[in-house]
Amino acid sequence: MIRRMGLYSFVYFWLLVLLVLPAVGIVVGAFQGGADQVWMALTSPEGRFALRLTLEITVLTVVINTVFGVLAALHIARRHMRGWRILNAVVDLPFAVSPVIAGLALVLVYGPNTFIGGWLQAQGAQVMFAFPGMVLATLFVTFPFVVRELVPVLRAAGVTEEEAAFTLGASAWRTFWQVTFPNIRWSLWYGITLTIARALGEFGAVLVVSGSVIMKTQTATLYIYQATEDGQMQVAYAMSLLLAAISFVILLILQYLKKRQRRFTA
Amino acid sequence: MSIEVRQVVRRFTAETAALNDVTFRVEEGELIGFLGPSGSGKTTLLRLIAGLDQPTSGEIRIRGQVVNQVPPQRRGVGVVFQNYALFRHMTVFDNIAFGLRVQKRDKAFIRERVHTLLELVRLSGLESRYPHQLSGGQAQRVALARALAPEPSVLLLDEPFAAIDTKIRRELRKWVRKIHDEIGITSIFVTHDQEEALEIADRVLVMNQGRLEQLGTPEEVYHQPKSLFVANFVGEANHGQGTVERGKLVVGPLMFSVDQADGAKLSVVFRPSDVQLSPVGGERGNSVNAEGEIIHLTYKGTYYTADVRLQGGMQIQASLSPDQTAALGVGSRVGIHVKRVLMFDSEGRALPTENAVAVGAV
Repeated sequence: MIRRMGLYSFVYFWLLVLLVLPAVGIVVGAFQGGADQVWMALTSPEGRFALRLTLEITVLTVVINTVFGVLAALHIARRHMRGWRILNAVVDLPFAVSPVIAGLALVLVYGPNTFIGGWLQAQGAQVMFAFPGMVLATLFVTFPFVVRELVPVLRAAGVTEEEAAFTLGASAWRTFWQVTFPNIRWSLWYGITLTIARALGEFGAVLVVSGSVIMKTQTATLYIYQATEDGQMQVAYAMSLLLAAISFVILLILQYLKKRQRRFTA
Repeated sequence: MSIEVRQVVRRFTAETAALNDVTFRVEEGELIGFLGPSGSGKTTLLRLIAGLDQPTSGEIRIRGQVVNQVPPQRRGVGVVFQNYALFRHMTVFDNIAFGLRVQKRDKAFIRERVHTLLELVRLSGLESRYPHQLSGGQAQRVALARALAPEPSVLLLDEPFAAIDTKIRRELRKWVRKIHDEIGITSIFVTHDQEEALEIADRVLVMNQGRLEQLGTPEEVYHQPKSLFVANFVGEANHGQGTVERGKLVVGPLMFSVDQADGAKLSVVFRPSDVQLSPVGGERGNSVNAEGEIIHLTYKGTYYTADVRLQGGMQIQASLSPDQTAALGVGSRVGIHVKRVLMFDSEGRALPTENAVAVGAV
């Protein structure tokens, strides 16, 4: 009994060292110069720009990855066409590969000195070191979330409800929205929320493809990085606090969704 | 006719055919049972008729129209799935109304039709329940009401009673037969339970390994099976083999006179109900073919099944009425008379049996 208590106490000590102290550190660090300092850091033109850029990238990423994620998940779960195994294996690639490498790979394909990138530039479309490249990088690292959440529920739900809808005269479109979608809804929200969390916090891949140009390609995380480089710890803490707070809210949403998901599948 | 299946083949892999050259017709208003062991292709056949799967070759017609290229949405076929496949996030009402809403019927019509159907399946008052709040029998009846709602011309039921308790199952199938008679819709149900098929179907289609073995009335498939498989699969059966010698077929201690040439290898099948047991010790007349000993009795409710070991070790089963068990029990020596026998050639095809009679002990 005592030994077990000792072990569990160690878990809490570990939690304190690993998670709680750093979180408290950020709060203290952000407010050491007063609340107005925090406000100023966040509302400076550079800060506001970084936040808006992060928001834009996140919204686009969520929309695109939801559509393609649902399609990919249907393909993998239903095995209608050969090649689902390949897709199934490739989906996890972003989990396995370091984001920095992902970013570099994108530069190698779409950079200005490459065949594709060069051609695009000639058409007046700059991909790398610009907004499209940053979206691409974020899409890459967040692709698995929606797919991985949906495949198991789609498999568990099976196809007979959909087949029943077909025999009752419903089109594929109607069947998806009225039969399939309600069955996967909560898992989809869960996958989307994970995508948002990752898109907001992505650093490595975006750093490589953006060049981190202030007021041009600097996202919130790049802004923090820049601030620490410049020795403006106050600013870095303030932005970190905001991102951490958003993450905390997302965590609460995930807890809620998990509960709904479980209630639904039970 | 209502449904016509012509030379239909369905292959899932190159080597094996799930359905192999299946041809038959179903008349308007019939209730047909697809009977066969699991893997015999009966569900595959049902799915082809519903349009949920495509034949590799061959033709399917519904009411004269070739439907090979017609999607399930436009076949006018109602399906009750094995696991019911109710829409789990919809109420009973919404489940039944689904097909009507697809047809864009007006609200008043839908409400009335759903309530008529709920009455028909005796579920009035449950319309706001969700599928997980229903018992198996109730879910089954909702699935039936949902399939019937858009007034299909054909109703297909895949193992409709498989997941239901025996007692309710008996009730349900009688009741499905009654509904069929009331509505008069052409219906096909799949089952691996021969009792179920014989009890409610107008005609039974027996399948084995993707082939159609026989399509006939319950009496035909039971009394005049076209193949050894049907004889063994439908009803209880004693089974033996032998070679014809001088117009006689010898199977263990039993001997039958046959019309076949010497040297022919034949199979014989006789029902336990066609085996008569009598106590040994009385006069041994012509009607006794062999003697044996009862080694086991199984109670079947209204009758007993006796396992009888014949001279030479061959074992057969015989039906015994409760009256007979007063005189006969485990250990009794009995005389055996086989009243009726079915014969099959080495390929399992039925042979005429008018002249095949048991003629006494070896």
